[in-house]
Amino acid sequence: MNGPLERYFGEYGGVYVPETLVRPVEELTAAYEEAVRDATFLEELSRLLRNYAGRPTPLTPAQRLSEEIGAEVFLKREDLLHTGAHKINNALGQALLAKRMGKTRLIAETGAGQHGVATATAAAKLGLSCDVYMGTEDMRRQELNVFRMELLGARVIGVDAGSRTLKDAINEALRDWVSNLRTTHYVLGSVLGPAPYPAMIRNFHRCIGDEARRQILEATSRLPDTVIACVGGGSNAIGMFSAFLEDRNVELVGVEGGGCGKGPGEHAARYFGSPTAEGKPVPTVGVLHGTKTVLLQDADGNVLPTHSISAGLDYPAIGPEHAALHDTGRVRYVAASDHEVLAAFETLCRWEGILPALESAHAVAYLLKEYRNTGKTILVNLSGRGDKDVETVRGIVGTGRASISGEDG
Amino acid sequence: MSGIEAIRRAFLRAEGTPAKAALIGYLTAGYPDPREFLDLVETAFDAGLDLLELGVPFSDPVADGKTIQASSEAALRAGITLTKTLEIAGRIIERVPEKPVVLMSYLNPILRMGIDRFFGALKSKGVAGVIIPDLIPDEAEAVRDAASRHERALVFLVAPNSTTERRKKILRASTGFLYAIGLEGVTGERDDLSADSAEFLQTLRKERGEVGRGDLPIAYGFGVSRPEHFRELARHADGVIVGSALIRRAAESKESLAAFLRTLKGVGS
Repeated sequence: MNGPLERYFGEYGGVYVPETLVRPVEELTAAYEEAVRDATFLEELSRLLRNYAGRPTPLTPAQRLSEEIGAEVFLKREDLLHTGAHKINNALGQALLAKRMGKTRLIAETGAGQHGVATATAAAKLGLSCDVYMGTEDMRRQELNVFRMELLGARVIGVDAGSRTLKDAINEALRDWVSNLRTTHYVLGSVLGPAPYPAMIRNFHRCIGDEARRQILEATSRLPDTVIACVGGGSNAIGMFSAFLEDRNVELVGVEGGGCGKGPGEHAARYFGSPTAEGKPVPTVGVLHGTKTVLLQDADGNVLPTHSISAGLDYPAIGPEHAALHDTGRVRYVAASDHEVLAAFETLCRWEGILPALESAHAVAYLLKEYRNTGKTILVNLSGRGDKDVETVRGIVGTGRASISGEDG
Repeated sequence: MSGIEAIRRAFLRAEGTPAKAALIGYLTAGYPDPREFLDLVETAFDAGLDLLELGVPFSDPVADGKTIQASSEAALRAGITLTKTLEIAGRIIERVPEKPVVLMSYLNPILRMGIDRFFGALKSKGVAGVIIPDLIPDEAEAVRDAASRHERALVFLVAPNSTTERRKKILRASTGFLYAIGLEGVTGERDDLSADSAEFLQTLRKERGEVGRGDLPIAYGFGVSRPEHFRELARHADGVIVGSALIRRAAESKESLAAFLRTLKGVGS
C-alpha cells in the first residue's frame, strides 16, 4: 500500500470540491503519507488483512471451465474475503487511518451494500461509529444488506433525492462530511473522489494484483496473456491491473456494465459515450464527486441516470486513473450486457461451483464471449461473491428451474 | 463595462445606504415557475436586492442543503438548463440593467458547454460573472484565463477552515468579490450565525489588505436567514448572501419574497 499518491492521472483526477473540503483532503493526504511510513501502522493493517479479512486469497485454476471453453482460466478469489468482496481491503485501511487521525465516526456510501457492509464491519472491529448513506431505491432492492449493516451496529440513512441510487448517496455523504469534519472520516468506496482518494484506495487494493501476479507465476511459471476485471468506479480492477502495468505483454481488459441497451439510462458503460448535439454518442470528460474523469452526462452537463443489473457497477463515472489508462491504450475497456452477465453467472455456478457477484460476472461474461478456444492463459478477478445477488437473479429467472441460458449446463 | 466593474459599483452604492452592506440574493433559475420568474426577479430588485446570484440547476448539487436541492430538482424538471439560464439572465438584464447578475453554477455544465463559450455567453448577455462552488483556484487555470479574457468576474469561495496560506491564495485569485462561507456545512437556513463569523470576516479584511486586494468586496453567505443576521453581518462584511431563506419565500409568493427582502434591509414591510 506504499505506492505513490498521484493528484492527476494524465488530464484526469484533481481536487474539484467546495473549499471547505480542501483542508480535510489535505489532512487525509498528510495522514496517509505519514501512516504508510510507519511500521506500526503497516503491521497492524497487514495483521488485520491476514487474520481478520482472510488475505492472501487463493488463486483457483478453473479446470472444468478451462476445458469447456478452450482457455486456461485462473480466478483470483476476492469473493472469499470476509464480508464477501475486495471492498474490505479499502475499508480496513481507511478505518485504521481514520482512527489514527483521531476520528470517532465513519461515514460511507453504498449501492448494493457491499462497501457499506465492509465499512460497518471495519467500524465494529475498530470501535468506531458508522453511518451509511444509501439511496432509498437501493434500500428497497437490498433489504437484507440494510439489516446486515444494522446488525453490525451501523445506521443506514436513506437518500431520497435525485435517482435515489449510489451517486445520490455519495452526494449526501459529502454533505454530511463537510458538516462534521472534526469527528468524521468519509470512507469512499471506490477509486473516485478528490485526490488523494483514487490513488490511496488503489494502494489499499494493490495487494490483489501483487498476490495474483506471484501466484500465477508459481502456478504456471509465466505471466498470464490477459487479465480481466469488472469496472464500476474500478477499485478491484485497478488493484489487480496496477501489478501488471509494466508487463507490456500482458493484455489488460476492464469490463463495464453494458446494461440492457446503448441508449441514455440503459447502461453504465462510460465508453459507450454520452449523447451529443450532433447525435452520435461520444465519451465525454466531466467533473463529478470531486474528480475530473469520463462521465455519462446529457448535452447540458447534467449527470445521466445509469442502469446495470449489478448495483456495484451502476455509477456514471469511471475512476480517473482508468480514464488515463484508456487514453494511453494500456487497458482496453469493453462492456458486457445484463443478459451476457446472467449467462456467465450461471456458467460459473454450474462449471466451477462458484456463485460470483453480478459485478464480477461481467468479467466472466467477457471471458466467455471473447476468449473461447484461444488457448490463452487468462486471469479473471473474481471481486466478490454472489450470495447478495441470489434474490435479484431469482427475480429475473423466476422461481422455477434455475436455468438462465435455457441450456442444460 | 466589465463584469468586475459592474459588481464594484453595486457594492459601492450599497455602502452608501442605511443598510451599509449589499444584499445579494440567490434564486434558482426558473423556480418556482419559469413563466413568472422575470416578474419575481424584478420584484426582488424593487424590494432592495442589490445583486442577483442566479443558480443554474444541476443534477448533483453537493454544496447545497435540502431547500436549494429541491428547487434545483424542480427547475430541472421544468427544463431549465445552463443554456436556458443564460437566456433568462439576458432577459433579466434587459429589464433591470442597473443591477448586476452573477451565475452560480457547478463546474460540470460549464465544462460541457466549453469554458470559452460559456464566458463568451456571459459577456454577450451582460452577466457580470460566475461563482463555481466546486472549483478551487488550484484547479482553475483554464477558467481563470477565460474569465479574464472576457472580462467577467470569477468569484472564489473561502471557508472557515481554510488555512492562512489558502485564504491569501483565494483572496489573490478572486475577482468581483470574495464569497466567505460562514460555516462548515452546506447551504440552508440556520437559527443562529456561526459564533466565529465576525472574527472570520475581520481576519479576511485584514488579509485582503496584506495581499494588496483592499478593493475586493467580501460577501458572507451560508446560513443567513434572519434580519438580525443581516444587521450583524453588515457590520463586518461588504455584502450578505441569502439563499435558502429567499427560495422558501419565492416558493410562497413574490409578495412574501418582497416583504422578506425589505425586512432584511430593515426598511419595514
